[in-house]
Amino acid sequence: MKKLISLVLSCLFIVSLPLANLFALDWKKHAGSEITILMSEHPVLDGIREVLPAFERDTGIKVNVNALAEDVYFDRMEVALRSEKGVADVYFCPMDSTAFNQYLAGLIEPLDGYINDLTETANDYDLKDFPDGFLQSARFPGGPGSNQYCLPMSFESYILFYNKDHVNQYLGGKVPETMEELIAAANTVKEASGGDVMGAVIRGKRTDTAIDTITGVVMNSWGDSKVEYPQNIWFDGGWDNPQIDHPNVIRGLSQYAGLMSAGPEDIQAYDWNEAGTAMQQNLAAFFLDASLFGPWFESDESPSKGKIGYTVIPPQTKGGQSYTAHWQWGIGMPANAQNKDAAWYFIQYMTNKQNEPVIGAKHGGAARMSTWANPVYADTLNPEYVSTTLESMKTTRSSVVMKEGWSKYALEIDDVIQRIYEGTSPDESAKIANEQFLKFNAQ
Amino acid sequence: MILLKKHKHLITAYIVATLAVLATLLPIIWVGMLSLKSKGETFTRPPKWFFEPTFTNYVKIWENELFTNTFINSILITSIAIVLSISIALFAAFALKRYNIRFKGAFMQWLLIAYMLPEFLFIIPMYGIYQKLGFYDAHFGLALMYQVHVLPFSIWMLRSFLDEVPKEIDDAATMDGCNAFETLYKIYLPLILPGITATAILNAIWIWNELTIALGLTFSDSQPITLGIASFRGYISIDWGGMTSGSIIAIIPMVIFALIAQKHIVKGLTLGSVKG
Amino acid sequence: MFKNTTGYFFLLPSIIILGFTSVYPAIYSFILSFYNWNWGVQQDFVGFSNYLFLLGDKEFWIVIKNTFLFAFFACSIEVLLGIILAIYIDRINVGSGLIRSILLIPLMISGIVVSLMSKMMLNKLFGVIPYLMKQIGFSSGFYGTKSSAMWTLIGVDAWWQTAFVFIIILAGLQSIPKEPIEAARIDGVSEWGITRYIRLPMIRSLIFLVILFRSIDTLKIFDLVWGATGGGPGLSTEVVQTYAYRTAYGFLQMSKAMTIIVIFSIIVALLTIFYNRVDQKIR
Repeated sequence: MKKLISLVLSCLFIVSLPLANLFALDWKKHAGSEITILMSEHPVLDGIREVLPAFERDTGIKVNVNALAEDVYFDRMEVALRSEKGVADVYFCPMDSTAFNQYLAGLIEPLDGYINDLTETANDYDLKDFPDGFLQSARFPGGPGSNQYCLPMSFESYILFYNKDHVNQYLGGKVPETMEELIAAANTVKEASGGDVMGAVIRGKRTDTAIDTITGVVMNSWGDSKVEYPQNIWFDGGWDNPQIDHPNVIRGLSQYAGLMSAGPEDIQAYDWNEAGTAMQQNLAAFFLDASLFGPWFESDESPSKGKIGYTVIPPQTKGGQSYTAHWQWGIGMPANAQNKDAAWYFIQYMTNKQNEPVIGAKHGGAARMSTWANPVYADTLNPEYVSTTLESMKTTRSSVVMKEGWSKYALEIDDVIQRIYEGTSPDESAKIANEQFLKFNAQ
Repeated sequence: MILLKKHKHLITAYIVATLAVLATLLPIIWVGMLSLKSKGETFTRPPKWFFEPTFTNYVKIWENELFTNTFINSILITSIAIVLSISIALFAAFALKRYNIRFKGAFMQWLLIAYMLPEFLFIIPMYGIYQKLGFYDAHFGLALMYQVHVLPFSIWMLRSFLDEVPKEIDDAATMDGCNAFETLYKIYLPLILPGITATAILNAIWIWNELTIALGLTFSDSQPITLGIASFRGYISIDWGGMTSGSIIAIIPMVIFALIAQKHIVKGLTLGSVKG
Repeated sequence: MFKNTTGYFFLLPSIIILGFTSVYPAIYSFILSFYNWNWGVQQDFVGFSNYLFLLGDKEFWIVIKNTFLFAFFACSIEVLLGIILAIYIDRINVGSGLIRSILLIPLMISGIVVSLMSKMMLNKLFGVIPYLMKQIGFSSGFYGTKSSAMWTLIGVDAWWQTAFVFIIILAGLQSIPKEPIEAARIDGVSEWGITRYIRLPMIRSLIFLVILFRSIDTLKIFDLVWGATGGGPGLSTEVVQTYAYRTAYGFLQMSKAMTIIVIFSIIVALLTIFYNRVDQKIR
């Protein structure tokens, strides 16, 4: 009996071999084509650049990289998607209302056709390796029957970075345990150092792109109450009920403004690169922003290497629960792309199980769960950074709001913080925002 | 007594001149110094005054494909735009000088308004039609768009220079049997060559330094050098070495123009201001 | 006389090109401002509502105020400084060519390079100028604070464009006939008296001209602001062209952006015509 079973099994095995080959992906299928990728300067791009020679070798597809500074990138991306003749086959996709608006305008290509086609996608691609919460941010229009429009390339959750030297010197080595303590500690450092060391640095520039960091801080104040989508925490039940004046929202926005006040005099000109640079040059004690900064702070060329401590955003009460938000950069395909099949090969290659760890090592925000268990990725990263990020992931919620024209609402939320920073009462600032939201709805 | 007063005025003049020259040169020299510093030294607290200069930035920047492309693009765009503007403006200026054009006043007014219009007015409308004509992100397209600013200027300038040619020479040529084309080509053109040079140089400077229209009507293939410099803002840390050396490289051709062709430029700016 | 048709024929290429590059965009923008195009699916006719909205929009008026403030101060400083410089350097014979060449250099630099250079030098953390100022006990937010950003921009623009005024006025001063001046000297008039009553009046049309050019150029400012502050902090340095750019490319409100720029173009055109009239009177 045993002999029979093993014989049958071996026959099945032998037969399945050519069958497996039948389903193995022909990477060279689109050899000879040429694609252009449009991206912003970002650690993800550094990772792609490393993997690019292998991709060109394995597929025979030539890749032109068109990389821009981030602010120009956002403008050019919109131009590229609306070109009569496609100028990019692949683009760096912000997985939030930006992509949603692009979907509404019919500018991006759904990827499901490719993902489910075994002649175009390797059978070990394993879409389920991505947390569903990440995929959801670019699944439109949302709900059953939706299509996947972008695949995640990196995620960031909002955490607290601190400079261990400054904390030791000015705070006796005590890391703040609540938000109030954090703001007080930052101010202490600022005064005690005579202004030489900034207490806290954070994005203080008036822009709609700070909304995700802002959401992180407000989520921490929102606490364990339920968050409804697509309205997120900014509306109560429907688009017609803005709730910027909800006590938890006001508290979060005020705390953000409080951190700004513990920063340098020109904090209102600080975007993420100014704030990040200050931290990287050891000029600040605290920095609250995307986890992605971690690997850069630890790189060899950074004066901050080895000096940074990582922790989740301090909760509202001692020993309480910290919350945060997360956001992703993804990769998508313009609807006007000229070489869609070759583009799909690129997208697939850069987001598959083999290459994500390599790219991920550059930005520390791998989207696949399997990558975090992969030593190629995890071993390159500071362990405190890894543990903090993983812990933040337990209580993070998406910062995405799927609304047409969301960016002007986001700018208004930033304006609430700017007003509070400049002295207006938080209640008054929030009330103005609620009114503005209703005005925007009417337009 | 008068002699002393004369010296006093001259001395104050030289003091003012020295201050102005220092105020002008120091920022440029500082940026030049930054471009010669090696990577770690660019931004130190406090700034380093003495260091070992190195030309690595200037070598590295030419390896930057984007930068070299934008440099070449600027050369192409500027050349095309100048050829276009001078040739068309020459005919227009000639027409205005020599013939009785009925709508001359309105035409001159139009030139001035077109010259003064804000750049942003052009960008969105032209984007659409340029895409259809294939002029979008093309050297010729940009050179054509620039005519809205350099053509009026060239017409004014060339007209002033043409006006300096005495009428008798024109009459003599006609009596010799020259038609309009020939008169323009054989008689006027050689005489106003310095004027044409001045106009071309001033146009070149404006085109070379233009940003707004280029921002709206180029994408990747025909970006000029101004966009190339702007692109040095990287993701976290700005590539200061690239940006400073790129800036110096962008400035150098124009500065050479300024030093060599200073007289032409002055004459051009003054006459261009007179606008006929 | 000459056949006029040849003249019109010679003028034709200019008319065609200028028509395509100036009239066509103007008309297109004007028409577009009556819709609510958002570069996507929305494209309905909304009549004057964009205009009405802007004229009642606080943000729009802040931007207009910023633009005119910048233009007024930058232009005034440049014209005054340029004239003063020209007056002094007019006295110099030895080395005047070299001085002129050097002072001309900032004019050769593109606005984006000037903005990035100034940003580098005025950077609070690493810039050389804040460092030097700290040594003498002076500090400023430069580009970083709302109260100082606009003034910093005005100062940088003055560094950049004063030479334009200087060069033209100097050329004008040097082409004035010498007789009246000699006569006044013999009469014992002071040097400043000569400048005030003889030199300046003689070049008044040139002075008027530089005011025209500088005022319109400063109203249109874009690359300096875009490169240095991006309109920030807050809205403190947002000017019309940066505002239009952001509305169009940042918020995709194409029609609104066109409305902004149409209103602004009308203002610029009216100013140009007004200057022309005054100029005729001066001559």
